[in-house]
Amino acid sequence: MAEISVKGAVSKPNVASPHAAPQSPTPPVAYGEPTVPRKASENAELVKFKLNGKELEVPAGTNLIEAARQQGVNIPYYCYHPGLTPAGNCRMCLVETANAKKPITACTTPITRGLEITTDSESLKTARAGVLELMLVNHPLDCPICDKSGECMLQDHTFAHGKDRSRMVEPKEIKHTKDVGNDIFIWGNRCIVCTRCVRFCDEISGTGELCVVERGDHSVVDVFPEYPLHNALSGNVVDICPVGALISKDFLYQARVWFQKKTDSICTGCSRGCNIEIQTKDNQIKRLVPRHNRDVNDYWMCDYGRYDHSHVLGEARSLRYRFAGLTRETVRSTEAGKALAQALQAVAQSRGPGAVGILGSAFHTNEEAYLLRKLAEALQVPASNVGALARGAGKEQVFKSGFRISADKNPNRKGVEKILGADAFGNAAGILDRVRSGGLKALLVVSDRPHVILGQGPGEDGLVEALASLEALVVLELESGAKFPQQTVLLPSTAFSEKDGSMVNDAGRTQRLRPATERPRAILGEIEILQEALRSLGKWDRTLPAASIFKDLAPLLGLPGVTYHEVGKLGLPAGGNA
Amino acid sequence: MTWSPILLDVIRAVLIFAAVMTLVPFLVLAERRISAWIQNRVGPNRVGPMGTLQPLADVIKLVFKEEIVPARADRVLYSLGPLLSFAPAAIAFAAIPVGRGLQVVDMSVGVLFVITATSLAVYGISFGGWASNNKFSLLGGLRSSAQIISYEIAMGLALISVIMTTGSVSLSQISEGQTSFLCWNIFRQPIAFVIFFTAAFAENNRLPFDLPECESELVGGYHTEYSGMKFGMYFLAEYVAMIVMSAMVVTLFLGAWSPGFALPEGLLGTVISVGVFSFKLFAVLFFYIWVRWTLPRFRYDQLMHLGWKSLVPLAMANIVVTGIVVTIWDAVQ
Amino acid sequence: MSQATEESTPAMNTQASARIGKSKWLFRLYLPAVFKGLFNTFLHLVKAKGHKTFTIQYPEVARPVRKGYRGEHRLKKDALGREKCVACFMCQTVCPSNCIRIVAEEAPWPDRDKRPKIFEIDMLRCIYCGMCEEACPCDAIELTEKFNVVSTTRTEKIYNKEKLLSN
Repeated sequence: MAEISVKGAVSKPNVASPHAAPQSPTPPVAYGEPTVPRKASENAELVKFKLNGKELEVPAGTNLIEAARQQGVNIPYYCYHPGLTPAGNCRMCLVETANAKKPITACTTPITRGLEITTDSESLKTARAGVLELMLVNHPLDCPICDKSGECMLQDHTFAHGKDRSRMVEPKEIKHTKDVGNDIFIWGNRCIVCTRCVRFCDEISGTGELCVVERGDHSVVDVFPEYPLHNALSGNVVDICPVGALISKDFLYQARVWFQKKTDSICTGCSRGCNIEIQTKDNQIKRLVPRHNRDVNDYWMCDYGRYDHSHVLGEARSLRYRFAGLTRETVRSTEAGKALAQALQAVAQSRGPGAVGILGSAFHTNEEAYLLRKLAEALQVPASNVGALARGAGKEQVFKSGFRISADKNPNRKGVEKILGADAFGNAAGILDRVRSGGLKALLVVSDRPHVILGQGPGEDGLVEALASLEALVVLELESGAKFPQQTVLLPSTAFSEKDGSMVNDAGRTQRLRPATERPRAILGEIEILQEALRSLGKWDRTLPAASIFKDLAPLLGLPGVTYHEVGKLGLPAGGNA
Repeated sequence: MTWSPILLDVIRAVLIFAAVMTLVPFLVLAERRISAWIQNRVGPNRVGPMGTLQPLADVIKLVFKEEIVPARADRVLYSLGPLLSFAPAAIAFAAIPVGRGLQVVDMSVGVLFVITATSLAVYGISFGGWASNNKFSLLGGLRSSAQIISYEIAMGLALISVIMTTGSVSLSQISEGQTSFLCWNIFRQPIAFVIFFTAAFAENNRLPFDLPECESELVGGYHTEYSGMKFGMYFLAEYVAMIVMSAMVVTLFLGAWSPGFALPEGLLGTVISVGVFSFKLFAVLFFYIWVRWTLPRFRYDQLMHLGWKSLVPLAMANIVVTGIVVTIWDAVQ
Repeated sequence: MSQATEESTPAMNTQASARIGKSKWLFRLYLPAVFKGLFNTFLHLVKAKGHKTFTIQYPEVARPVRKGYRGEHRLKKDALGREKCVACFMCQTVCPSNCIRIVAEEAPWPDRDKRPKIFEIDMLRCIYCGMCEEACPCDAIELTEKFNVVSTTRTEKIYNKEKLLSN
């Protein structure tokens, strides 16, 4: 993290390497403006101010909470969120200044010249304890059953700043508990009316469903009658709720948060490649939550990506190996690779390499696509016979904050184009045509849902019969469903949470997928099967991890000399620099 | 009727062997009960009345337990060990008169035979320790060999003075010579008695000389790896050897089957003599057990010091003194 | 045993003979001490001088369980006979041997939100430390005084919710 006081680190525009820190100097945000993905203002003037007697220098207008956080001074807050406009209504972030008698809220205080801030005086401690005591007047003591507990800011702050008992003797105010839309419950009793969710719906999604109703002690977040919380970003309000007032139905009572194993990865729902954290327990994905990446998704992710993980352990998951007339549950990777290679090689030798077609898909990692390319080279398959299947376009959605859900639902279209050839997706139709016409005698299909994509291809009529007439058909599939001919070599493939690899999003940014769950029944991955296939063709030495393969393919992505490790948690744009 | 003496021998052999073998389980039970009483416990009291069937249950358990041969063990020696340990001890009993004229074989060199036979047990223990392919077993076997050989010398030297006194190496003659109470060798050779008894403890690997199998150092010593009936054989051998040694102590020093006065002739006398012998035997066995649960184990160097630096010189001095006394006695007479 | 041995250190000799107050020679003969020991064990053997047997004949005579004994677990019930447990996972969190497995579900009752769908304790892993009892915010789990924890199979030792409620 760049020291704020170091001159040049912030005055030079965009020099901080993108994988260095998720939250580099925070954005000066004028109060009331809609929030956009922010970077330190290029021409902000450096100003000096005092924090607890220590003189510091930051760009003018930096939010006080952020400026203090970077000095290791944590000012407690609820309603402040770096992705939202400050509201100053929770009163938790009170600090004292030299030139005001009463404490002020840090979240609404941009740094100005000569500001003198105290964050740890005795009166502030009393003030925080008082604020917390009032918040807890109506807050139920149901932490044991609250899904938020463990990541609840009210718990943390009460532990750090609060009193250990309540003086409240009156009965607590009972508020509504209701279903407010897509996936969200409101637990009104737990609400501390920080209005983060309200501001999210106003500023980020721009849909404005949520509001605060009633007054004073009775106030609580609610929706309007007949206007439920239906927007494609609604899941984010659960993440930003500092207490357990907004609860996801999907995650309700699924697991306690402290048991979750967290893995940084990216979403493969569309070509945006939002940065996410995969949270698993007992090898099951419990939830996906967004991970801050200023250059891609800021603090948010959409509901389509968020809830699209049930297929990983779904019923349709293909887990069996079928080749050489046998269906098996476990095989050695050498066997599977050999089966794949021999089927294609036999045709390549008898009919010539031109009779072999290879179809990848836009769901591959770059490493898998690279291995397909190597396989095509090993079998001398002509470039026109190497294609990639893509999923049809969806609807593009752009929200008020600029958050965009891409119409292109193919997460690695760019990467596959760079590796298999710019016209790889264009070749797919031609390859399928040649299958139909009998021009191709062997086909390798590696795709997550080949039965869906093959069914969606242009003019699917006659394709099923044509596939049956092939001399060799090898399919690596994630989900079974299609009725492939009996002699097909069928191998399982891996889901997004099981892959280790890289993808390129629609902005040309290379980002990494990390394995969060173990493959069911320890099935083989594409990456192993394809390497073994290459090895049995004599074109590969030994099975390598994705990191080693990335080293070879990095130049293809426009990142020459960049290692897998350097891609980092936040990815690298093409060219390797911000 | 040439075969009838042989038949008689066989019957006697079977009878005495059976008696000894029957004695062993009850000796085990006695050991456990007495140890329990000494330690303010109860001991086995569940199987049968007062726990009397406990030995039977133990034997059944041992018989049905799986026999394990350790990996890379010397299979032949491993199986031979328990047998070599048990057989000599059982054979040694053949020469001991358990009552007036009741003896499997009355051989003229009875003392030597018994000493020789019991010494052979060291082979069984060393073989077992070597063949188990286990460091604890090997150490146990080594200790046992060293210990038995060391104490054999003291024991033999003690016996020489007894033989010098009695003038015979035949056990029956030694027994006959102790008919009168004052002629018991314990009074004529008290020092030899102490040396012999001490060495007998060592020969039998009993506390305070149980270094070959001391649990706290060597797990189980030479029989660490043994299980099932092979272990049972070692167990049996230990107790049979104990009975043999006790019988030797009774025969050599405690007046054998003699109650201390002349017995009536005929069957009655023989029966009484067997009873007297058994009583004495049990008393010595009880003393064995009693000592075991009283005294702690010697350290190894203490054991060797005691054997070589105390018992052997003492026994030699005893021979010299005995020799002088016997010579003077003969001259006087 | 019959004569002085020489391995004792001088320090030990002076100390020991001073304690015993007898001649050095007699002490180093060991035999007096041996017979003293034999006499002592004989007193135990015949239960003289107030020695008595301490053994408690277990199945017939049970030893009284002391207060605070930690035996098998029990899930408590509330006044309506429902489990008190709200599936907060505190016991599972605090359990040092990882023997508790809980799967939560929504409670079907109006006054409660959450309850355990599955509550299993692997008694083979449990170390009976009682931390679960201490951690429980609802006083729903406790360790009973049951110590006879015998089973004939391993699966029997994985106690489910019903077993724990009736324990």
